[in-house]
Amino acid sequence: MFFLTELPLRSGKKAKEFVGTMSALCGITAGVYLALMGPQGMQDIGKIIMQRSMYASKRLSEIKGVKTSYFTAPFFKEFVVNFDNIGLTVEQINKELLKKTIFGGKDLSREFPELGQSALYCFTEIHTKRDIDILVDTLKDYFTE
Amino acid sequence: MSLNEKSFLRKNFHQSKWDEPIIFELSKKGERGIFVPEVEDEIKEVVGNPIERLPETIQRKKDPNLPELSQARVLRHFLRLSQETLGADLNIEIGQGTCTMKYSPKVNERFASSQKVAEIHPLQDEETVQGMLEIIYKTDLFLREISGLDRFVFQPGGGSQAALTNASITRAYHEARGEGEKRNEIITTIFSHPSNAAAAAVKGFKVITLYPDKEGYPDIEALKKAVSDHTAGIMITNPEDTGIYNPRIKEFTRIVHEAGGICSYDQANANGILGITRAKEAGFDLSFFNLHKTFSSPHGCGGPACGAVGAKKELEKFLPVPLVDYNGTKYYLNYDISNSIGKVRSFYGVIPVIVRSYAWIMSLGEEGLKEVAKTAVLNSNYLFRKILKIKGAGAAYASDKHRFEQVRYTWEQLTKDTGVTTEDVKRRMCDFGLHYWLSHHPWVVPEPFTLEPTESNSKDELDEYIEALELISHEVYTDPEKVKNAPYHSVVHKINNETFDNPEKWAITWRAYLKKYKKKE
Repeated sequence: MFFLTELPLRSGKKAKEFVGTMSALCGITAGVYLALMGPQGMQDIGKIIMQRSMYASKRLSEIKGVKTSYFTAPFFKEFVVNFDNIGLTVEQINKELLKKTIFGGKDLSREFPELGQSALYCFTEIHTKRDIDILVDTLKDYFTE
Repeated sequence: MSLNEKSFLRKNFHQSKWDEPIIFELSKKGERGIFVPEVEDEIKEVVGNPIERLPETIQRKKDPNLPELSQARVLRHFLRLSQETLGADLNIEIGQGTCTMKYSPKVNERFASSQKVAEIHPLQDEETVQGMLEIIYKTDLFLREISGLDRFVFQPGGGSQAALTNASITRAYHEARGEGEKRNEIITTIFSHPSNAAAAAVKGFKVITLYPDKEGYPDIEALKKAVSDHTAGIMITNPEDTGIYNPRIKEFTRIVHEAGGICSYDQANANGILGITRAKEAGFDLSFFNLHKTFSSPHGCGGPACGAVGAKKELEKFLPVPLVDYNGTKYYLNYDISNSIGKVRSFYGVIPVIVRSYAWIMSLGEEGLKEVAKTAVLNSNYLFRKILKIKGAGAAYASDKHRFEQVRYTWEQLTKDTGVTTEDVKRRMCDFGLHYWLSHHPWVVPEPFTLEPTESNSKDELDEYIEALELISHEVYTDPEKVKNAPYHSVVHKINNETFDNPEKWAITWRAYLKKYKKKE
């Protein structure tokens, strides 16, 4: 989400006003969301996202050849999944997942070659246990073929 | 108000006033607007309490200071605030010159908010977003046709960011030629949008600002003196915010090119020239359009927006990646741009804004776009002639010549005669349900106001606006105090502007307000 940039009017440091367009309506939407959620809602969603993504990470790591404990610190929402021991590229895996209408994790192999064939997976409050189980089962089936 | 009566002016107008508190003042402990779906028991059994895995040092000690309201109260609160806001859907929005506040067809909202658009993930496989890539590609083709340039990108989130992008490309161009250090000056004009100067300054250029000659055209003699082998380029608007088109624009770009610089075109004021004249023939190398101005994706109070940046073929290699390309069978994201300045924003474009603009252009076609330009210019000149007849009003550089889609007016005479200022007039306009904007600083034209009717307003609407100005002018000369102390029928009464410049008084957050006004939380 982007707010007004600090592009000063006319000159560098002394400008008093900013005139320009960025993402004001997105800011209002965020404000409404935060008002609806309140402090308890934001705590709930933080915990829920952690629970869902941790569950996904654990289940994925249980697939033979898949590694998810690449970074051992606690994580929020996103984590790296490594497929080096599977012998397939992330590109191949994501193409297979797409056939099952699943969007696989972002391919990191070009931007972070030191991570090998790794993808960034992300789970939020919208991913149910069933969604996660389907992903895991689909990968399992594909890898055992 | 009836179409059969002579006057359309709303003399009994009063804006909705809710006296709505700040949302924090409405907060009630324990109230809640929405719940998040629960996690399944099996997941809880597997992972336990995730908060325990977090190091203590990063665990919050205090709850976030967010308000607590039920869903209905949130709805009411924001709706009431919206009723206290005058916008393009509520009033005759011609007062906001330079912003091109035209009607945004509501049918285009259906497209932009459709699940097929709104729920696309920016990192989805290209195979799954061929339709969206096609829309972006086709909009690129439309803008090439309109401007004569060779390629457009849609990353910049607004005009200012597009100006910064062009300044960045300018720098990259000169660095590639080994003249990056030498070419450290950018020329602009005082009536171009101030973001051009600001973008150049932020990018580290020294900014040279040209003032107009006696007739209001950018001074070509000043330009000749300003160019040197330090000139990186020129960044200008044309027609300018005065509504005056520089008839020697080709000479301007030629002079800059001869000095070794490149020419960037701020096309925020494209509404009056669509299908009539192009960036290419004017000699520009770079340009940008404001999709939220000319191309009807609404301003939305401040975005989301898109400053679509265009470049000539020679400069394509500097554009921010990715470009959207077509290989004959499918659309794809092209990151293979040799000297790209990198990215100016995440992902590949401001999608909902592009969708609305695409739909708007498609619904108008070539004939429609030309008609937009002609109608916008006609409306502006109708206003121009009428306003010049109002006592105390004038226009900078007024002559028998026509203007383009907007005009910068002045109350200089009115202020000299009575001491009433353009700011006073602005506040009195609120009493008729009309928005009125002063103009960008600096006020080279004294006591200014800039009006841009666009093609969206009918003669009746222009007449209502003119009548308001006529009435206020009459009031100024007969009862100046009344105008000075306006408004009387708006949401609030006259505000003391001085607080906005006093750091001890202004507060842009609730916390700052509590602190500065020593209130308890």
